[in-house]
Amino acid sequence: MIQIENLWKRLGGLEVFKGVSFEVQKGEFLALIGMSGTGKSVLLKHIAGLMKPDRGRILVDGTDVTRASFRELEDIRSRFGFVFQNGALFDSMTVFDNVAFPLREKTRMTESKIADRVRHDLEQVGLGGAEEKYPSQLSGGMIKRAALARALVRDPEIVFFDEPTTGLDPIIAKSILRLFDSFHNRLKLTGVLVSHDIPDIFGIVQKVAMLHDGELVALEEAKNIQSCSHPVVDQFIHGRIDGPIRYR
Amino acid sequence: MVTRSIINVGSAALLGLSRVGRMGLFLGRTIACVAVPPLKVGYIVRQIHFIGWKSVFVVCLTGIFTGMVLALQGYNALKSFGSEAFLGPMVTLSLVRELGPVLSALMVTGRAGSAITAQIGIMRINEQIDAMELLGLNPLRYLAVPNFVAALIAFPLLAWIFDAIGVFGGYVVGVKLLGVASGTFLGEITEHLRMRDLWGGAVKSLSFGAIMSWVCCYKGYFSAHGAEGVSAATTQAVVTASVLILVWDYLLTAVLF
Ligand SMILES: Nc1ncnc2c1ncn2[C@@H]1O[C@H](COP(=O)(O)OP(=O)(O)O)[C@@H](O)[C@H]1O
Ligand SMILES: [Mg+2]
Repeated sequence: MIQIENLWKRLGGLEVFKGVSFEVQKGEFLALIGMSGTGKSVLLKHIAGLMKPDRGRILVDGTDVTRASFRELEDIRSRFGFVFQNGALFDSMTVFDNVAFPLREKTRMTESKIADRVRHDLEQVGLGGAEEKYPSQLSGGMIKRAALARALVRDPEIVFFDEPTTGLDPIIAKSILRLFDSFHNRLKLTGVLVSHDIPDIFGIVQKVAMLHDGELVALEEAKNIQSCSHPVVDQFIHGRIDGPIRYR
Repeated sequence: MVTRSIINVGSAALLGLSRVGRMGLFLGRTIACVAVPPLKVGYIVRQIHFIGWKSVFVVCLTGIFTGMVLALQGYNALKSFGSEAFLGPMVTLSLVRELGPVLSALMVTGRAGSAITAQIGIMRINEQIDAMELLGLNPLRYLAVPNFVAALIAFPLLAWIFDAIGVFGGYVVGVKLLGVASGTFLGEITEHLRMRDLWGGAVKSLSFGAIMSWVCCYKGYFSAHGAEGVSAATTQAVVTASVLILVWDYLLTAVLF
């Protein structure tokens, strides 16, 4: 479904990707882990066609998004749900309008149908009472959940979640992960999930990839990752202070 | 040494050229979006309110003082030729042809243009523009086009308000303060003011509106990474738009009048 082949990218004098390749099969969830600043968000933006690599290909269902025409990109993106790391809610709109926006602009649904759907989705992410609030009035957790509702409102097939639980309290974080799990099981979504919720995410995803120093240092079945012997992976997922990863 | 400086000059020129190209492309794509429906009418109305209506006060304020000072200066100059009678037309033509369009455009650029750049720049660094693209929407339709259309509508109207208030200010100073006869002041205006002066002013205003919205949207849209990126973009937008307005004003004046 998603194939990344030999991706290279230089940003601000830094080689962010030095030949990254991996694949996500249809119906599969992949967790992307790695230290901050290793390029996880940048990788998601490449898959979505928001950034162009210096070298390499990214195939989504056979279409190379790095060379796709405007129309092709639009078709592919209509199947995407994307949650940005900071939510990226439109700050001039209420929560309700944010979630309704994709439906109003891209479908022919009537306003009353849209309202039903939006209320239902906001209820599902636990934002029932916050419809008329503006993003600036929301807490970090509420922003993430509103962004989640907006990403899912058009029933995407392929989803990208960039740290959906970072900065949330453990209970909300768990409830969001459970929400993913139920969506994933029910809708057979394909997706990439960037998260530091170790080991909780390992129970949700099928595969785990770790990005380090511009390369993929691990690509494992989720059930095997905890016993992965690569020293970087071992240090990272067990949170060890000593090891090959050095903090400057 | 010499080759090094040739290379430097060359690469600076290429960079400048590619920037001009990118700005031109941005304008072209914006105009294409205006030409091809749908127009987002709600967004346009909101920007007319923001660019136009909210600028009325500051335009009136600058307009009245400009008219007053024109009358004061003009009176002294004309008096030395014994032709105070022409004070009315002098004030009016200066305003309608030149100062109304230019000064109102500069005021609105400072007031609304900076805000437009900052707003779009924040949407860029907060990834709201990326989010729009991912929804399969063209961000220019929602960000650039409403400002462009609103500026084309608001700028001529604001310039005419500036003119009218300015003439009023000139009248107050000339007639009430300096003692020019009211009938002379107004009569000479109707004698000398032509329709083509008003249209010429409107053409100027239209193009200034296009310049302001184009430059300010462009700078916000491509503002760099981080809060410094947005503040730099805002400053550059106001300076660039103001300078372009004055340069373009000279060229238009040479052609129009
Ligand atoms: N638009 C950009 N321009 C320049 N550098 C960028 C840009 N976006 C990200 N970077 C840099 O790329 C690196 C990876 O960033 P990011 O993908 O956000 O890391 P993370 O893995 O924490 O999500 C960082 O060093 C960041 O500063
Ligand atoms: Mg990130």
